[in-house]
Amino acid sequence: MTENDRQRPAGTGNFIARIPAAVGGSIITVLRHSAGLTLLTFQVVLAIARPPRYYRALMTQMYDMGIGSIPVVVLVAALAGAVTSQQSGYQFTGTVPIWVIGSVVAASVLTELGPLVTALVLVGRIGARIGAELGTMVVTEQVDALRAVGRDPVEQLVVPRVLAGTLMLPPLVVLADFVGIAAGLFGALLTLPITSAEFIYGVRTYFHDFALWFGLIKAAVFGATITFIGCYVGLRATGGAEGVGRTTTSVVVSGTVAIMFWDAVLARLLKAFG
Amino acid sequence: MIEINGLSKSFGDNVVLDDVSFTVREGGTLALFGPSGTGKSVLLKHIIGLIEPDEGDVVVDGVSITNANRRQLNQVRQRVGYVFQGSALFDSLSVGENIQLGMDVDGCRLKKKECEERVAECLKLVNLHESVAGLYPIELSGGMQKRVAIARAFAGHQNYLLYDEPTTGLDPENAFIITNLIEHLSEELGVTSIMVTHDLDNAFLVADRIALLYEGKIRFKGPVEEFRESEDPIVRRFVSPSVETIHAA
Repeated sequence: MTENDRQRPAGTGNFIARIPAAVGGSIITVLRHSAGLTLLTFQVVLAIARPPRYYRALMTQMYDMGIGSIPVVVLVAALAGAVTSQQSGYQFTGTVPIWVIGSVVAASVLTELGPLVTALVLVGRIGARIGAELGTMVVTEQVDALRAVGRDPVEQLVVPRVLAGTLMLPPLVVLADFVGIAAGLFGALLTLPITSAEFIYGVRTYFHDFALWFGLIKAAVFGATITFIGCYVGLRATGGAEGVGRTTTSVVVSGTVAIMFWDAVLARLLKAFG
Repeated sequence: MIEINGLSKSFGDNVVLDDVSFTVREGGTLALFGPSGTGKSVLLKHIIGLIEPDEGDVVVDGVSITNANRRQLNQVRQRVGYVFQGSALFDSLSVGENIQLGMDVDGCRLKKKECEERVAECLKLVNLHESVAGLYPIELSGGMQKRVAIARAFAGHQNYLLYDEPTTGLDPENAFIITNLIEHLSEELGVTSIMVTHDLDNAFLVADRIALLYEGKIRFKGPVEEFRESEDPIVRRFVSPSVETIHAA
């Protein structure tokens, strides 16, 4: 052992030596997932192009994702709208006209809070459920059993979920927008020196069609993203109960990151077009 | 006829199947033995294309599984029923719907009444009452789930039935019932069966041929009597497991 080795903290050499392997491993993981996501996207497109045999599954998923999500979406949208109007009120009172609070609430809810909060709530409610459901099907060989009877798991399991998510998120966001703005109005009336006429004037001053379309496009993209990630991660589950648990966590984490990523990208893209 | 030609499969550094070749002719039941983790289920899954081999091929009634397109693969799967180790019934579907899935790989083309009649017929063949069709898998015992899985596997009049450890996890009475059922179906339906199992006693009751998979290769293949009387120390370990035979092997 040299003098330099003795002075070096224990494990430092190993740590430095492991860096290239760790970086290489991460790159391989990213490439593998990119390839997997691309392949699944391709399979979904092909399956959608074939005559549909998943009508019943699609209806079930749409009901569960749409109707089943209404209570939680209403609750969270109401809280988001009320908090936004109160926070705006505290900051704007005495500095800008009070009706601006209506504009701020409408702008926040329609373009950001409505789609984003709805999506983030549904990452937990829908994405995690899909991941756990498909993960369990994989580890209990139900997916293999589907293939054994000649059914395509992508067509039977992934397509109905992705289509349902893409179709049901926009109406849920419209509901969230309405509830959020209404809650913002009630919150403002209860806590701020503003009338409903002033608040509605503020909302109307801001409102333009593009804001609504902007939110709906985001909602459809978020819906597809949440369900697609749930399916992708779920179908890659390994192991038993522990594996399914890891799958659920992975869906929530990667789904949340993907939603935030799309939110940033779509804000730039849609504003450029808008 | 099922032909397995030079099949090799590895998972990472773990070589599971190493140049495995054998043929299963029509009629009768072949029991496939081997130590745990030796690749029996992996071999079975190759037969219907659930796993792709690294090398070699499986040919079912003249169709190469490795080179088959989607349509050809579905045609093979129409002829080969598979009973999974854990039954693998679909939780979200009723027993009747699970069985209907096995009737036609392209979806049930029969009319609703014909479908229901076939479901009732399949349930009767596995000694279950037709009222079970309306229940969900979660409402059934392990033995009943296994019987439904068997009914799903032959519901489409398959020529071959592959059983992956059909008696594992069942009490001796249920294991015996399932074994009798497999024997009865082989005779009644005239299907060719391959049964992966650790249950030597029940396998001797139902099988007419035995294959032993050991360290990735077929160590023995022949009639049951020949297997019983084999002097191969590895085979002896399975026929009469004892400290002496294990040490001798």
